[in-house]
Amino acid sequence: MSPHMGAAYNLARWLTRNDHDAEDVVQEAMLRAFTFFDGFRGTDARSWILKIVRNTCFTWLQANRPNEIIATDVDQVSDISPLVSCSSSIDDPETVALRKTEARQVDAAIASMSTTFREIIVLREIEGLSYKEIASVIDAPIGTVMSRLARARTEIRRALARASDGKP
Amino acid sequence: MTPENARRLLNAYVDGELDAASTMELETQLRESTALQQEFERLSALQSLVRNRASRFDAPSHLASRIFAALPETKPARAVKTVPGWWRSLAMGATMAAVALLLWTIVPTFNRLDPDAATREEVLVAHVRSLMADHLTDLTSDQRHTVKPWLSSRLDFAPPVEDLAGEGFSLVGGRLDYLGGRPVAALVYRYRQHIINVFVWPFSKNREIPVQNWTLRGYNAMRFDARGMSFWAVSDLNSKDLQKLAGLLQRSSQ
Repeated sequence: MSPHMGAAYNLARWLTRNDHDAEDVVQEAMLRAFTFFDGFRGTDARSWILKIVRNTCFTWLQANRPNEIIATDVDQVSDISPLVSCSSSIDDPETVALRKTEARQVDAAIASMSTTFREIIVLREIEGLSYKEIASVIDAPIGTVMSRLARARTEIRRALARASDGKP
Repeated sequence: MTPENARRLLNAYVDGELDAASTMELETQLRESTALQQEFERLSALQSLVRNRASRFDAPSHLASRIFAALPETKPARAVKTVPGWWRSLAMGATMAAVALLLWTIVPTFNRLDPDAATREEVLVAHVRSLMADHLTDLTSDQRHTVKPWLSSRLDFAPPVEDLAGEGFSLVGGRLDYLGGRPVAALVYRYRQHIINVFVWPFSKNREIPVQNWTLRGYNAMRFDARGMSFWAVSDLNSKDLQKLAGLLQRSSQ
């Protein structure tokens, strides 16, 4: 299948937070991509496909879950708590269990963010896109990418701190 | 520098996206401010945690066929009614062909004048096949002392196998492959969610070629020669991180 199918599905899955909806969105996005394929002149096919997937996601969310789309302005953030560090790569059962807990907390932290910040984390940390590529996908200047990424990481850190505080 | 601006720059610095001038300015500030230094360490730890622990959801296998099945219905019905049946099936065939083109050959950076073009194509095909056929490795091990002798005993050369887990590139294992009419070693590395195939064989040209990068059908690839071997790496990893791997392999080969 397409080398970009994985990236397309992952983004849609993170934005819709649901398998079934992600499939619908990717299908619609791929059909749109096909319709507009004549308009594709660039060389970065992945960003182009992801941009269509992203726009399709937002259209879908607007129609189905309008309350999830909240425009968020970047504001100053203070009071940042220290962070749990990444567990080592040794494979004893305790470490494996800790790693699973970490994975659950990280996933929950990303899922808890607004779509604006969630998409930027998924594109940067999971898909490994450059700032320039992200700017092209979300159709925003690189300065906006920088601000949102900084803010998104602060949000994740807060969510992770809440998760580890809430543990018995 | 305002705190907000410092935070933006620090994030870009952690991401390796800061320009040279701002990097120098920030590094000066980092040396002077313990608080900024701590913030940098927290940010690096957070980045590594998210990268290594966040889930990447795989597309279900039926999705591709589902999309293919949905395609003909996207043609406008009015246009279809006015054309004869044979033309319609031809148009549908063209639709499928265009989609195949869309999905497979989106980036036509293939340069036929390049004598390496055939190898580039072969290397990409070998990479894709290794992921599709559920045959990524013949020997799965993250121990270079296990992978290297296994490959050497089955080839007429000893491929350099490096443990780069400390740099984020963990060794998954080794595989025998066949490229350019000869058996080659395929070393499989993983970086975050991305699989990288590094094909290695003794090079036949007279002089060593420095690092070359290219993109083929959305995949990033690179090659270089070192210590009498040709290294060809291909992955869906971004080219920056792939070049980092090239640098590490080159350095350890010296």
